[in-house]
Amino acid sequence: MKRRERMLQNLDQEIRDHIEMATQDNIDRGMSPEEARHAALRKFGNVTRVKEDSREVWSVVWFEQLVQDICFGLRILRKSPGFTIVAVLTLALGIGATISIFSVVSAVLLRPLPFPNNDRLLRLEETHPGSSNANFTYANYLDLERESKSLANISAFRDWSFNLTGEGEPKQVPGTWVSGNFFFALGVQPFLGRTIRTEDDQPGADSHVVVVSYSLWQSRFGSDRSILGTATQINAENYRVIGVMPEGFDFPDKSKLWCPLVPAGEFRNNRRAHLLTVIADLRPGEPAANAQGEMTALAAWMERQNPGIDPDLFISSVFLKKNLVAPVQPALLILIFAVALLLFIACANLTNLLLARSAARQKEFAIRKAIGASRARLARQLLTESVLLALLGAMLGLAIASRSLRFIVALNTQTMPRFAEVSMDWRVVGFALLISLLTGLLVGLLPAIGSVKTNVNTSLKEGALASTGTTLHGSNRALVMPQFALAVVLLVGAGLLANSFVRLQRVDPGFDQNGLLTIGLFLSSSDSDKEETKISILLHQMLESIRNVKGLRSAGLVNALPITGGPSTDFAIVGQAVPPTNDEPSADIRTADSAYFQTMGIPLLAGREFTEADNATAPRVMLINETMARQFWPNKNPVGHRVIMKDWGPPLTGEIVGVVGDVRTNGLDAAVGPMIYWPYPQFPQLFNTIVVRSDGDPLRLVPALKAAIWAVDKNQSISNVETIDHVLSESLARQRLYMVLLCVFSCTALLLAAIGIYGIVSYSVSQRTHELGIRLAVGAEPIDVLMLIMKQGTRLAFMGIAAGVAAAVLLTRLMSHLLFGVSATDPLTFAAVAILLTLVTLLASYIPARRATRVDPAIALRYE
Amino acid sequence: MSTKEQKERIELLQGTLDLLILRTLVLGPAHGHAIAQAIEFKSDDVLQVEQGSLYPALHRLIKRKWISVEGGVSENNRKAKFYRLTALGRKQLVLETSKWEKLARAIGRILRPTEEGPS
Repeated sequence: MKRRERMLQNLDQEIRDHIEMATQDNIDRGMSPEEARHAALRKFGNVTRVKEDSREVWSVVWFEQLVQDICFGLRILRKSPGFTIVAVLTLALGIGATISIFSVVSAVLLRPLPFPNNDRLLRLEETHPGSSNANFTYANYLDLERESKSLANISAFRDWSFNLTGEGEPKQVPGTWVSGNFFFALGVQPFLGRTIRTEDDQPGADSHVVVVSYSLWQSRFGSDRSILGTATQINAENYRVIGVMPEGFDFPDKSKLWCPLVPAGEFRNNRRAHLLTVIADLRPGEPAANAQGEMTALAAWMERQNPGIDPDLFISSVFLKKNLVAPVQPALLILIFAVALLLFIACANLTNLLLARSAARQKEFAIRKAIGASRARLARQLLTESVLLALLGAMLGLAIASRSLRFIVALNTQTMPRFAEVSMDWRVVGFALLISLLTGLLVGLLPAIGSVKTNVNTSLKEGALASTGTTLHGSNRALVMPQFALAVVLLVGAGLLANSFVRLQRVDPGFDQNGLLTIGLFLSSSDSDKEETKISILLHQMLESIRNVKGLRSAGLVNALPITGGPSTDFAIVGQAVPPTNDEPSADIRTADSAYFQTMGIPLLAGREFTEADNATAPRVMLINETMARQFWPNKNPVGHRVIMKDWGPPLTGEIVGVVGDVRTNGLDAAVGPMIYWPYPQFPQLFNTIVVRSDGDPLRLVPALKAAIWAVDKNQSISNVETIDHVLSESLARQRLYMVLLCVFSCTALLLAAIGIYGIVSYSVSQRTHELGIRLAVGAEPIDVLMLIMKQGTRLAFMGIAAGVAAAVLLTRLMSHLLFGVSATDPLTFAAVAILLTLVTLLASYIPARRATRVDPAIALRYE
Repeated sequence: MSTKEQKERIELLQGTLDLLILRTLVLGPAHGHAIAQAIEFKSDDVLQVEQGSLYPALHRLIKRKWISVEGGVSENNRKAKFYRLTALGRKQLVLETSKWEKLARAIGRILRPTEEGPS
């Protein structure tokens, strides 16, 4: 550095001497002193430039210039705070939206699952045509585990609820029965103690062991390290705690504890009950295609070994991560596409702002050029400025994103896979940096190209208009078109989702949802077969106890609520030909008490409801829903016919005594299928839900209801105490999230597009004041001027709207699976969006255009 | 300067200015103006030293340690910076000169093939 300063120290003096000597030479050749000096100066060239170039020899040029550009850029931005704020806000909206969605995409789709074996972890599914159940039967699982060569650690698990009793209030937590190799398949290590091992699920081993999650260890066991080896009460039995998993591990489905899956003898040979989820590791070096090939062959082999049981069995293997995120992947991709459009609209606005600004800065550019700035240097300066704006925008955008992300995630961790893992990490920050650099370069490109074309002579002439060349003007306005086209696409998408959502909410669930409360009861019982009578007695006592609570109108019992899904079975009708095994009809099965239908407001359409007399010793009876009656007894009365339920243990036959109205079983958007109701004493279940109808707000009854239950059994755990309204609203959480996000994005897009056209029209009015003044002076009517100005912006906007409608027709097809009850090319939605945007266009250009009609010719002509 | 005069002059190829400066300094130290003058004079004013590039070139050569700079007094008795060829610069000059000659011969052969080799 020192050497460099010494070298440059006398450069000024040296140059002056040089010129003086050259002047002297010229005088010697016979020029006049003045002429001589001019000639010498001309020959020497641009002094500042020479100094700059000499300095460059000694410095890390790009870095110094960058620092210079940044300092200058910041000064310029500070000098016009209005512009800076608008520009940064515009970008922050675009970048913020992009970052929020990218954070979700990054965590859900890009980040590997938090298991060491993520790369080779597969999910295996038994698939059957016409059935959505992908779970394995125990016998098929055992065959697979024994026969497969390409897979290792083939493990099965089953979600379950576990009642924790003993210390404190009884608590029901979600947990999982897992095969002994489950933790080895994932590759996870325990935080304390050991995981379940292959020996633990073998017959005769001590299978009463439990591994607990970190959060349960904290909340239930007070983070006590000496917990290992001690006994705890789970489902009314003693289990020995053998390990604690590391923080955050909750696979599958927010499990809080894991116990060995030990099938009762008979269950090992079951090929009908599809209850097990199966995962496995690809053996090292084995390509995934081989595994699939082997699965296909094994499925065919199983079919041959067990003819007639599962004629259309197919086993598919997919990577577990892909399988987990499959339900949300298409929607997330649509959302990331939507924010990209939004960001583009924001960029277009900013480009326009910068273009207008660089038009106003022509003189500054000309001066900088005149004193020796190269074109590249000038362009680089402008790009530095726009990148600075983008970086500021990204900083604000990150703040916006972290806020909105917390909001999005908090609302949806229960219903969206992997949402609990969503957070801002280095990937997100890196993405924000990258996107803001790209944005900055993109928006700065047109203005930078424009500034390079600055003509020093015309721009510096006194009184020259700070006007732009035609090229600038053209590109300026042209951006309106894509802006409006993209806004149309976004708004149509949002409109279609909103339309679907409204339709979903209007779907009749089949019951009266007002004033209904649900209480989940999971009965602790290890061996339900022996205790069937005990279960129904217990449930009966609890219902009686609850019915005494004051303020309650009625209370009923069901094993699984409408909307949330539940068990189903294949069935046959006595006296009708039995179809081949793979074509057996299937129905949802529910168990209910005599007051359930009246409490829910489900109408009785034929026959009778259950009564207290339909108990365990009475003849088996059933109710069916309207759909089942219509499908299997069209125009006939089904009452008196007999139906065989085939899947749950030994087949049960019952007589239809009545028909009740349909309820939405698997969600408001799912079609209703056949449904069979048993009276609960005739087919007792461990999972039950009590529904309570009250006159006022049902939540105020909660303490009394809990007390009533605990009065019967103080160890009974109570879960999911919520109103049916809440259950319904939760069931739409996913759709609501997509709709709200897309609506927010498209409204922002609309706002930005409106600001865009407003800005362009008002800019053009200010540029043409002089011309408009002349027009008015020679007799143009204000309305002519208005039309002239408005035509300019609106024509392009209308072209954009037309292009957007065409693009939307093609694009909305991609989101048809997110829609309900409305076609992807719904003409009403398209028309509404087109009209809305037309109105916005007219309004946003009318306001500034009106100013043009108020131009006073006298002032306009005197101006400048 | 008339336009005719300008047309007859040839702008220096990129990089050749360095070579010419080194060659000029073989005769002894000189200041900036003298170097420019010498190049133009010796080429019968055919070569035009873009003066804007002279000083950056000098600084470049200093940085590469091919020339050094010292204080001195110019012919009209003023203090001036004199540039002197270093030993390193002298070696470089030999290298560059032979490189240049090779280049010139090669280009010449391409431009006037018949005058050169026997055909």
